[in-house]
Amino acid sequence: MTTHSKKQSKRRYSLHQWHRYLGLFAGLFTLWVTLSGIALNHSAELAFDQQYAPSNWSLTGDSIKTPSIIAYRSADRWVSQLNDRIYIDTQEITVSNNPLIGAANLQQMQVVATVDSLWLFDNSGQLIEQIDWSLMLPANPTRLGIIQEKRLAMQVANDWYSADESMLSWQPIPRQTVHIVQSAQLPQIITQQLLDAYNGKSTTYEQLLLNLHTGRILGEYGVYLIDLIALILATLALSGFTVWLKRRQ
Amino acid sequence: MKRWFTLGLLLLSTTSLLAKGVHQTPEAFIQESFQGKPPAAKVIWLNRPLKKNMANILGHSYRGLRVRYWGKGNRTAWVLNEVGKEKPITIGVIVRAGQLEQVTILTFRESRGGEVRYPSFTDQFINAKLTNKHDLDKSIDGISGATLSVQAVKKTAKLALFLHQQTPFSDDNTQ
Repeated sequence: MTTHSKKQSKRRYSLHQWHRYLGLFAGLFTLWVTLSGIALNHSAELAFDQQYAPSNWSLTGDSIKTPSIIAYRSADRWVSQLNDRIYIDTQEITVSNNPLIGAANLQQMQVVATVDSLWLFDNSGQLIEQIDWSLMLPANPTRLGIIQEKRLAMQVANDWYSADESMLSWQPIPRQTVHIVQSAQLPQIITQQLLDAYNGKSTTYEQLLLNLHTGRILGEYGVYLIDLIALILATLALSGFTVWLKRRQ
Repeated sequence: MKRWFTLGLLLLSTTSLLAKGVHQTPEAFIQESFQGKPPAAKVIWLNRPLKKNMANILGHSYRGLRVRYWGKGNRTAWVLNEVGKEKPITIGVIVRAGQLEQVTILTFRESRGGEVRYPSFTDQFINAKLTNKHDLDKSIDGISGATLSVQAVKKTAKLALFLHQQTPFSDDNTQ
């Protein structure tokens, strides 16, 4: 065997070895990504998007460490928002990604205002109506107020508007007549109950699978690990092709 | 060949991204529906039989005890939300004399199925009426890959026709 062919054979052996070890390393993760990918593809049929992972699973990754709670006292009840969930006391009444800007109890109706919508509930927490602010007021309101404990008012830019009893039309009013609704500290006992309820409903199996698939379940560096696996798989394809090509020569 | 394939993929993803978002605000829709002079809003309170019929049309119970609308002459305008796959699609519907005059997608929040906002789809609803069995009297062609969004728009169109019948602006009530 000539020196040249010895070198070639050594290089091929080395490439083969690299291909083998990279394959072994990536194999385990490939199985992980493949299985989670297949499960994700069928998550709707299997209702993974509607079932929640147990709250005591430490692998869900999404449990609240620094909760964001906004709360308003409304008559003898509390209206609060914990991340995207809105509650009357401890009853979850709706979901909104927009911040809560106020709440009031008027004429047997629980009024809940978020930046984009006005929500009207009866006293049992049943939704009466959700109305997009743009259908009633000239722009996005920022604060909620009450006039003589009877009528609802809303601040838009520097102006205040009050609603009629059925909240179908709004008229400009002077600021002096309005009692502004202020946010308040939610009692600790309710906060704890909300956190427990939220954590029990914070991560669907679909989200869990997604976290598994993308590597986020391992924290911020998990994503880079999956990136590395993807690069190794691409390298394997290239090295496999090169090994095959060299064998044919 | 590869270049065309990449370009095609890019175009597809751009179309999908553009489909998502607010296409017209509900306020602008109502203003436009009544040539800038919309009447005062009105509401229909939903009793049990009404809610039962609405549930039959939607395939699920309607969340809410009243529905807001705008009406003038024999026309009514509705802004309704219906979930496509996971997120609500906000749809504006105008009904004139028991027939659909306009269906407009106001806000589309899903990542797929945004093709329902194109006039080539929504114009199919024009002049459709509600049958006694609460179906549309004309067939609406679907869009492949947007089945759930198409279903949501069809259900909303039927619901608006049904609700129109319950208002003082419907043909039956004005005659």
